[in-house]
Amino acid sequence: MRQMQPRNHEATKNTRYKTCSSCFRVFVVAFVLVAHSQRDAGAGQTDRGDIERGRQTFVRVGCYQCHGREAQGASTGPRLGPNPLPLAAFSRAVRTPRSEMPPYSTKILSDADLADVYAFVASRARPHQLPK
Amino acid sequence: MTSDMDRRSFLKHTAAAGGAAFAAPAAGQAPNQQTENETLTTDRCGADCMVDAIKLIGLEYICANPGSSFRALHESIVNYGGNAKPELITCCHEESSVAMAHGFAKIDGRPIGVLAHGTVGLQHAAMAVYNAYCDRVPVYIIVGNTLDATERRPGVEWTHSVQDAASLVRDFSKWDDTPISLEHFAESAVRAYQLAVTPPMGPVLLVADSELQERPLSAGFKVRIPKASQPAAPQGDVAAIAELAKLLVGAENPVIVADRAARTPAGLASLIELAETLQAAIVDQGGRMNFPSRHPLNHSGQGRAAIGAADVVLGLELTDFWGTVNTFRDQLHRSSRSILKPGAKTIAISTRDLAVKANYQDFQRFPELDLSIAGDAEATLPSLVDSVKRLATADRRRVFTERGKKLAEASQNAYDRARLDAGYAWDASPVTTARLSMELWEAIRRDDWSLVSYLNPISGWPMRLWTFDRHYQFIGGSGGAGIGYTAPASVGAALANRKHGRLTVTIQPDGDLMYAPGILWTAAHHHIPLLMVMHNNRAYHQELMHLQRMANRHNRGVDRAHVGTTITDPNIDYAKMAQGLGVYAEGPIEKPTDLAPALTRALAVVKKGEPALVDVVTQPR
Repeated sequence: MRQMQPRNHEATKNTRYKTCSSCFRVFVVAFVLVAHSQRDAGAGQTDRGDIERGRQTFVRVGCYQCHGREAQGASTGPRLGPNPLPLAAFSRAVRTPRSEMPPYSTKILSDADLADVYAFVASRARPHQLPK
Repeated sequence: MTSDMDRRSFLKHTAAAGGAAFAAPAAGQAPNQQTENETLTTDRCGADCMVDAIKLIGLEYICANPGSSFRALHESIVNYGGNAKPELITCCHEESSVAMAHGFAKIDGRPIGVLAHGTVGLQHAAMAVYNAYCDRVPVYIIVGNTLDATERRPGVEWTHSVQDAASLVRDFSKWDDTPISLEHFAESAVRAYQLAVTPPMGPVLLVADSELQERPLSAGFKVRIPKASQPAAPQGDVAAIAELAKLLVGAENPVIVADRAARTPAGLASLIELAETLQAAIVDQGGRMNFPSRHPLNHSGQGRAAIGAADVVLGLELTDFWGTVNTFRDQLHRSSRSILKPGAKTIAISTRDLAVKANYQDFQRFPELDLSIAGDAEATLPSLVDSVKRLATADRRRVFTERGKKLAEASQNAYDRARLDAGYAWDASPVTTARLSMELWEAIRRDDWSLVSYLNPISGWPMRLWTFDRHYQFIGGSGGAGIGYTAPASVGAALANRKHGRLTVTIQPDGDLMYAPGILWTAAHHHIPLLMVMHNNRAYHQELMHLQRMANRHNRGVDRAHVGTTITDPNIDYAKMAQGLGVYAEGPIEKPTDLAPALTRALAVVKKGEPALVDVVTQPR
């Protein structure tokens, strides 16, 4: 798995759109988190959640707003799958994010919901190869 | 001059009646009653002199939504002036007029004009004026007004008159004047132009009094219009440039950050020369087309990392130097910290400090710099390049070469990563912004293209994946982040590109288009070729994310973050809207495989000289 990079321009300033400055910080966390996932991710971790329920939750609680509907990542949030972080690290990033990501307490996203989301992002497709 | 005019002003009556003008009304005469009839029919009027001045300074177009306070000037432009240089461009909103001029100037380098009511028109225009001011772009605005209360027609003309029209935008325009004679107008017209195009550039405003416009003139009457000269941009101090060159040559890891640095092909070439001489990393913040996107020294995608590793950071016309070298966290707690490594030197070349106003806070947080050079970056770069070349010894050049190799390798890696990243969710519906960007690139890359929209809303994909290497291929953003800029500025930029035969494309956010969609009609009416590809994420997405942040910060969940931030129920059919305004349009496109054929069809229309719109339903970012 490769890490997402900060978007090209606004990565270096926080003037025009405040949230855009936060994007970079989201990416920094993503860099660490997704890079870790390369060695730690295990297929069995998705067994704890339901992919379809996870897709619905992913939309309902607004994950897709920053990470895209397929968790593919954008300037506003890193790619989350396939091959996400280990579930424990994924959970920490959701509960107590170090970046600009909104914190998701258990009051607004239960552990079961989080496991479903994890299953969903872990099941995302591999990338299409762009022609040279 | 005065003796040659048939004046209908208050002064005329005063002169004719002498002191009697101030005497009490005669018995039986109602207060304010005037018995003298004014003769208004004439072969020439004051507005003709205004048109002479406008022609002399070379305004190619004037964008306007019609208004009675400048009816004489409007009529003079189209009849006396022959509706050529300037040609009147009909706009459906004054905000569109100014934003069109904004986009035009960023392609052409020269301002065009805007005509508006001094009251309601300028009120409509104000946000776009603010954008141009923040973006340091020249826009030439003329507003109509009737200062003399005795000349106003009863009713609306009173509500459309104001004591000091320019005061509305004085906080965020570069200069204004309210001429009280035609000679005064001519002189101020030239002064306004020169001030607008002298860096730091900005919008200027002249008030054209309606009495002055409509004043009948005798056949031989002429106004002397002063000569306009092209101002030379201010350059940085020679000693300061020498000191900067020494720092750059001696640095192990210099990084050059550029925002509104390159205005012209010369600026782009100068920055390339500086970067290649030093083999230094460039971080292009995208206020202008500063640096080729695929140049091996372009490290914009890794900007923060590059700056954090630098021992010298040079900022060229940065909007926000503080924000460039600091982080600011706005989440679980609010905090900030420098990303610079200890001892790193910071230097700015900028015109920002040459024209600062107090009220609006676009000057950003105060940066602590080691060297601040007041001057225009583009104008200063040639002397900086010369100084660097003089100081670069053979030993230093060997160091530069080795540095360049590492930077080139990192740049290639970043490009490879971007291509890989773009492939995720390739077949997703709604269409990913990466796929939209790549499909569009494939459709236009063999043409002489110009992308005139800002790239934030689509995650900056084109700058990561396309090859930008000409000065007109990118023009940055709005400056003031006032939404509603992209559509009219794109039409203005397309108007500027038209005479060069360039293919103008814009990636049009949905929320932005809905501010003043009448600009589509303007594009159709004036046959302005422009390919608009909608980034239709059906939301004011930036604000949606802010709502989401607040809701979770307050531990309430994001279930209702869509309230007031989404543009759904009903979904807007942008293709139908565009068709209704006379623009060829297709969509909404939800399947990614439908996109390429639609782009091909739309491009065929654009290449025939007309605008076209392809509505694509997209992922949020």
